[in-house]
Amino acid sequence: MNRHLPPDDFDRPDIATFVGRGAPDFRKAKRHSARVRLVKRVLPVAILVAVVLMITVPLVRNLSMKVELPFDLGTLSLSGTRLTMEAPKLSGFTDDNRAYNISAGSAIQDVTKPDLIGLTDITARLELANKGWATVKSHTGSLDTKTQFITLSDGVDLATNGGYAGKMQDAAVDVKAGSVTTDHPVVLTYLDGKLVSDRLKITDRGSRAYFEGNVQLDFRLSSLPKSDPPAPAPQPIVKP
Amino acid sequence: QPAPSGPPNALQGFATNRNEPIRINSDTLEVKDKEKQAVFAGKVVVTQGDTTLKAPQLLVYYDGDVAAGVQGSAQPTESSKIRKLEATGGVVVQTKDQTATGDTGVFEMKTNTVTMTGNPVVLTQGPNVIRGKRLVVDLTTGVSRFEGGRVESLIVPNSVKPDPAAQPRR
Repeated sequence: MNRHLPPDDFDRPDIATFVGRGAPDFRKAKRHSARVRLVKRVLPVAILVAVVLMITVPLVRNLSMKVELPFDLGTLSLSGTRLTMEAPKLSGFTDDNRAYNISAGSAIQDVTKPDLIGLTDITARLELANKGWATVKSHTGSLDTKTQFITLSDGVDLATNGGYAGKMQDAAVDVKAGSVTTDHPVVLTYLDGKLVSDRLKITDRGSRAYFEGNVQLDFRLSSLPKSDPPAPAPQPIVKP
Repeated sequence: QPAPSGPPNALQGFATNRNEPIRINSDTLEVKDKEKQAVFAGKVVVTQGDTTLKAPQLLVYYDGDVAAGVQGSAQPTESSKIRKLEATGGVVVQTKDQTATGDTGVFEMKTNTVTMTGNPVVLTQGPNVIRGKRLVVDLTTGVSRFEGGRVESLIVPNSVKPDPAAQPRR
């Protein structure tokens, strides 16, 4: 390392080493000790940071793998005042902690009316009381987050693992009250039984159903569960 | 298929074509799962094979849980067993040339019997008429009997011809 010697020091090397401004060796030593002080402070901090990183990074990585984010934004695009979200997914638990997850082809929200969300190609899957599940599929629908009102339209398909299936043209779902109403023909099938009616109103979280208008139920006794053993043959269930 | 015996009546029609599909038409149907009841109301017509039943209201009592079926908890087979059916408000049952009319008709699945009560219960077959208080038809044996009170009948001689069609189809 070449040292810069100030000109006045050339002819008096013996005094130069004692001059207050510090001879080159002294300045070198000062720089060295400054560096040592620096390292003394920086090194422990660096080690500490390294240790912390070594712990948290793997933790976060496997943590995120376990915790599936409840909502998945998919791609988001804004055109004019309408916000479109592709393939939104939403999952969670109802108040009596039954899991549900809803996914849709796209969700459109008008920024000026944020409470109303238009959805297309909706598939909702709701866990039912006792390990069963029900799925609801609908082509279009809208969700009003303020009134918690969902309207499904253009063909709604309902299915449960208990063997029930239902087809409706549209349905208005009041999530808070737990009621579903439709004013268009409904077809419900169960095994080889079939129930058709013009209107349907399900209330009380599904424990009351009111079919109205040209109600027709078709079924065969053999499809009904046998009654108790004493009755040898399946009897006609209808009598005068 | 036991040959129906006792006073011929329309109810035995249900015994003969018991495996036929059943169709129930009505204006409204209300399913109340908490009370385990379903109520067909408004011009209720039930047809099975060649037997039809008409009544203003038909109550269906069931065990198990229709909602369970809907909820998907019960297996499809045993989700909702029908226990009892009750047609009220004036019931008319017709099979071919026989009719039976009464105020109410109750069908017990367990005992597989039909009980028709009325003031009176009137059975007609062609020109013949039988009246009584209570008619009980056992659908497994096809036997039907009048009970409770006087039975009045008017049988026109040789009007009951053994027409083969009346025999239950084998």
